[in-house]
Amino acid sequence: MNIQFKKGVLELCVFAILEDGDCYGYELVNKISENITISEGTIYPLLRRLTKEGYFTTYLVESSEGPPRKYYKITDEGLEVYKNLKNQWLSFVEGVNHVIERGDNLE
Amino acid sequence: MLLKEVITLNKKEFLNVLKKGLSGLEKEERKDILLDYEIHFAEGIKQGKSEELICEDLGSPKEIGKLYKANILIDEADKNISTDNILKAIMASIGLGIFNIVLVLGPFLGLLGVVIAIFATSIALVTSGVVIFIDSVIMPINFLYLYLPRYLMLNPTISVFLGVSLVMIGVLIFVLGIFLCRWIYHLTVKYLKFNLKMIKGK
Repeated sequence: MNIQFKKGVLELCVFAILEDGDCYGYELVNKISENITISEGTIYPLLRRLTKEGYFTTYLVESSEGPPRKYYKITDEGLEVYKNLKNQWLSFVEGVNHVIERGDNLE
Repeated sequence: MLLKEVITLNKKEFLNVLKKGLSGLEKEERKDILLDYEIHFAEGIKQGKSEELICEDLGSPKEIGKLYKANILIDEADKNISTDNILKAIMASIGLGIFNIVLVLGPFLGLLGVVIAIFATSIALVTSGVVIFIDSVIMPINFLYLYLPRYLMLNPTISVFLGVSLVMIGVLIFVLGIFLCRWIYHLTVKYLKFNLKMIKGK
């Protein structure tokens, strides 16, 4: 996928995954990188920023093996932002699809 | 093959580079960030991934460090308004390569020019107002050799009024200039934040 496309949507992906349910860092990174090729390390700065902005909260859960897991939970404020972002994205995609399909018909 | 060996990092090297990149941040914050990655490594190894593969998937620790720094410096500039903070935030963004310097520098310098012009105007107005005031009230003799229209100097009431109004207009413009500065500052922070959202892909 083109880098320009990926830039903005990473945030949207993180919101979407956390709306489905709480996740710990590694799990969240995996869920994204399964579908999109990105530098996985850039997701953690994003998580930290969005947590600082009050869209997520975190809590620790002890793991049977290995270090405790830090879970991220979306806040009401985060849900609000997500709804907005999602709508913007969907109408954007819809618009682009219209243009592309029209282009195909002309050929 | 040799080149690949040079770029491939292991966990220790990755964390070391990242740690260096985070220098200047608060100790607690730095420890917290590094812990996120240490846990990431632990989880990956538990899944049977090698340290080298995890590093490759994570991407450049240098770039990641820059990203954290830009995040934090922009935040700082947003909270504590100062020229120093905004410059640091701008420099961090430029270092990240997400701040389009060519596209932004033109309008930014233009705005800066307007601000300087506004402050120069206000200072000139206040200065001339004060001079006219002194000249007409305190020292009725035209010792400053001002070339004011003659009728102004002949009528001290008008001169005093002129002097005071000039000072007042000057102060008003100065205040407007400060508001404009604040507005530009917040606009810059907003723009930097917008740029940060454009996180680089691979």
